[in-house]
Amino acid sequence: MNIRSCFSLFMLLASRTSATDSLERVDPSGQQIRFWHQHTRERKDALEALIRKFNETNPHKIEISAEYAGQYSDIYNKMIAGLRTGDVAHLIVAYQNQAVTYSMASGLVDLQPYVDSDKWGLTQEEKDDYFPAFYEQDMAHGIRLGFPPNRSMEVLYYNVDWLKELGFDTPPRTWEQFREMVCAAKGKPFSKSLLPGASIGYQLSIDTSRFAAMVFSRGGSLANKDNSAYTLNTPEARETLEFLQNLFKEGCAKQVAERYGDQADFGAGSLLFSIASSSGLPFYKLVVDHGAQFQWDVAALPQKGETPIQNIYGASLSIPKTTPQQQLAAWLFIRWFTSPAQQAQWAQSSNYFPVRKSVALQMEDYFEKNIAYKHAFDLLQYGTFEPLMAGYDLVRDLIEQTMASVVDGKPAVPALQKLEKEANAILSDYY
Amino acid sequence: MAMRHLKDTVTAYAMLFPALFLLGLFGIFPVGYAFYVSLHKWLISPGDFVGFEHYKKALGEPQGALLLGAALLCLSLGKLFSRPIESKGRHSPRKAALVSWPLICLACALFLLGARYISQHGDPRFLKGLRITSMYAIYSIPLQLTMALGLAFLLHQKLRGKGAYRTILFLPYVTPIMASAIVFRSLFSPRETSIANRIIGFVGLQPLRWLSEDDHVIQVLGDITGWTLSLPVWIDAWVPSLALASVILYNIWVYVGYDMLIFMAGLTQIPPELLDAASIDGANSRCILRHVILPLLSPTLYFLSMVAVIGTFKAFNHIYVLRTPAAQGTVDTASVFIFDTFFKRNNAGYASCLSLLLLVVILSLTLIQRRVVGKRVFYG
Amino acid sequence: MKKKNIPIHAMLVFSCLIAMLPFAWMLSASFMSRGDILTRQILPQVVQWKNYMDSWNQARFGLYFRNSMVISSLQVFGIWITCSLAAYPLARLSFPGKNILFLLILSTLMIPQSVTLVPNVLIVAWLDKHTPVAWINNWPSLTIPFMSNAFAIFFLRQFFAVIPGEFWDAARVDGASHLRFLIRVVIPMSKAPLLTLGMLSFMGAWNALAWPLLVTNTPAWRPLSVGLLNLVEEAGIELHLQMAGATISVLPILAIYALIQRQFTDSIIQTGIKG
Repeated sequence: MNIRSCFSLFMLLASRTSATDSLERVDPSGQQIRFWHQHTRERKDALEALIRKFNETNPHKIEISAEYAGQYSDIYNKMIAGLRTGDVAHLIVAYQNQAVTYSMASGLVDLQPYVDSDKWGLTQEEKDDYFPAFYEQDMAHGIRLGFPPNRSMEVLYYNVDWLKELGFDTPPRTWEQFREMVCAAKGKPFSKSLLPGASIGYQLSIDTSRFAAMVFSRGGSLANKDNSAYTLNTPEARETLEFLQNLFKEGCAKQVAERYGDQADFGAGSLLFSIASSSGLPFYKLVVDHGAQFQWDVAALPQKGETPIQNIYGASLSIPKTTPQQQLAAWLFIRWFTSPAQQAQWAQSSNYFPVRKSVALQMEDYFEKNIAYKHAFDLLQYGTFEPLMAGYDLVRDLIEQTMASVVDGKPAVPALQKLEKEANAILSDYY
Repeated sequence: MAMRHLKDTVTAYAMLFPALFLLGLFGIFPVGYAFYVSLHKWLISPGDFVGFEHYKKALGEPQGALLLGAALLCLSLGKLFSRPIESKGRHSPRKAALVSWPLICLACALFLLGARYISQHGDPRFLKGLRITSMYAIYSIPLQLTMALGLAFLLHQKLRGKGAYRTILFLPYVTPIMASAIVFRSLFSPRETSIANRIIGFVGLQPLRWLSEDDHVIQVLGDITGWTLSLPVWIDAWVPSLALASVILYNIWVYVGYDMLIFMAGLTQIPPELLDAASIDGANSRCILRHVILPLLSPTLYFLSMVAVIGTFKAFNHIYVLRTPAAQGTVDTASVFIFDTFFKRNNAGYASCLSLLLLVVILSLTLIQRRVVGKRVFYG
Repeated sequence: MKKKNIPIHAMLVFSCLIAMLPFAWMLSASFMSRGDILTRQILPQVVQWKNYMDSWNQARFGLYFRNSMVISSLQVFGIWITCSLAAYPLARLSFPGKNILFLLILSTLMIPQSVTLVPNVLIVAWLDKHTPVAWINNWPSLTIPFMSNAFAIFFLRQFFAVIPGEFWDAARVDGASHLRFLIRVVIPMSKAPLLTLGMLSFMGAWNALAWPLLVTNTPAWRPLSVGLLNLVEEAGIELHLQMAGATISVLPILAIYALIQRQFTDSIIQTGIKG
């Protein structure tokens, strides 16, 4: 870290104590808050409904106006421009690594004082109600860059009926079992498959979230403890890639032909396992209902240890630096939005997961109708997350290229060495 | 005479003013701003002034760039010398050759030295991007323009259904990228059942991975036919990967209709009387094409070739949508690299530097084109 | 139909088939149901006209369509005016600095958009604060910066340059100024290039996305391209609505093109000089 960011970090930490005192005295009434988001269609409608509810019911007469700001890269553009012109929204959606970049430009407010505040923050009981990984994810060196409004998770989708036909009663617990099942599927297509000739056990879609999930499941991680360097040439990473490479060699797995091809093939009954985001649950339901119509479910990825370790991710809400009143008003919305009642509603309309455990109590009905969702929900407590580093998006691209080349047959170790070197070179841009 | 000249100058600038004002504000200012940004360590907000650090990172120490600059200088001097000697009336080719050819040779040598230095010390990914961009331009522009010219010429004849043909052939340019990319991705998908694979299946070939294939075309051909052709490294680097070849096909598909449209506009400026007169004089259509149409079309051709070069070097959208990780960056042109540097690496300083370097490259190509082709344009 | 034309027609038809394929698929997908999309059909089982209604409503097409029409038309008129004026001297006059100016103009084409977005927003924000007109979230920022562009200037220059000098001589004898000559003679003679340019500029304005998203915050002045983005779901399964929306957005451009390409049937240089 260079002197400049060290210094601003120090100032932030030092100012925190004084900030907390003055925070209690800030008056958020009547503030008009602009909120840049990237949701479309049903999610946008659901979000706007919740915002209307907040505007009507909050005691401080705070008014939030939601502005669709494009996709994540468009919001990024707006933020950069806004940081220069001074014209930023008061509340934005940002992925963690974008947030790190914004905060390097001193563009974001540290939310921890708000969380810890006696008057405006969360009680200890409330803090404990958050799933630990969700609560931790937005922290960088003791500073809170964002707060999670929702999350998704990598899960294993599996065809229950086909698995039974192959002679297995439960989803794979270990990677060895995974391999066994996947290779068994090669020889024995699903009886109800719409595309029997194209039968295969697993299709890999090249995505860093998949890679990370697989490394996590083996007990590994992608960076060191304090996020100062990438650790991509680890035994777990090697195991992950070599495992996949062997599956490919044996013909038990192949690459997805096009985006969401695995979804379509799963629905047609010609794919046994798919590892993908839980936010795809409604789409998997659709493809199966329109496809081979069989029983399916989700489970944790195969694991090395006893307790599952799952990859969770999602964008967070961040607050750019504006005025203390506006910042507080924005925080109050965040606090309201992440309370159980609202989370229950948001989760059901958006197909994301809620961030608090107690929400389960309000979602009993929904769980009954969506068993797969419930099974995934039960795994949220085992979450962990990808590293929070500036420039991570580019490293994701590099990881994906490495994945593609290794499953294609190139040796894993030199590829991972090269990857780690390049990733850390990118990191040096910032520090 | 001088009065008229002054008057002309004033008129010229007066007429140019509105456009220049807008372009200056929204076109030139960003270039200047980008230069300013490139001189700083600038992620998303201004950092320390670092001078030419970014440029050194991209190109290595100044030697390389200076060698290239010297090469350009020699080239223009060489061309410069060949002109006055001709225009003096005493057309003495020997004297011209004596001065201009050695200069041109020197220019080539300097260029090669400079390029070699830069390739050893510069940013490998950026240079790879430049190389891919050049390949993309070299392999798509001539094909595009030839096909477009042929089609425009064909559709300028008396032909039934002309209007329908013209409209349909323009569809690729008009079709939203969202739709055409989806279709192309599935046409050229690695699936055995994709259309592209079915077509080559007819000829008895194994399915290929198209957009996901990072091996280059000759290697792929070698794999299919069993003939191995090993080429020297420096030729190897200029053969596109199959993924890049697929992207090139996509771009030719998109832009042929567009080029054709502009050629058509150019063809309308040719007076039919000239064509009638030529055929009365007994010229056949190939002769007419060569001696009447092409010269009269040369302004349009010049325009399109310049615009095509600028366009392909800057091209972005139609390439970005077809990228896959499996292509291992063989589709990443310079503009894709710049985009990623800006958005994923969050490094505005370096991205601006690279944009300016790209601008210099395009400008040089434009200047060279101007010298080589521009002089042959017939404005009538 | 002449016999020797058959191979030509065959080749043209083949080219057309290739050219049409994605468009045809887009059209077909726009009438599909979700089930058709998921099961990868080529043709819809039942034609879903309601997709068009749905995407129109969901993406607020009424407002966005109007905005796009206004924005694109304004840009085209601006380009016609400024770029004809600018192309004329570059094509037909000689004055000091001409070559350098031309290169300078051309160089504005050579810089990628990702780099120009932010500085242009800075200018627009400054103008917003210091002029009586609102720029942010309003039509000026969406039209004025694009009312002049190097492509148009270069394009028109090529066409203006081929007009024979005799026309100018005749006009000068009649006492016309350059401006008058431009308006009375050059422009009417350049209908085809002007219309072509108009259409291409219209398309450019119609499809612009990154800039409108940057300078607008509310739907009031957002163009159709933003509306289309609204139809894009993160998991991308609602393709049928997306394609319906895309088809709607393509229709005006196709209409304009169909009208224009008729102009190409005849050469339109009238020989005004007899003898």
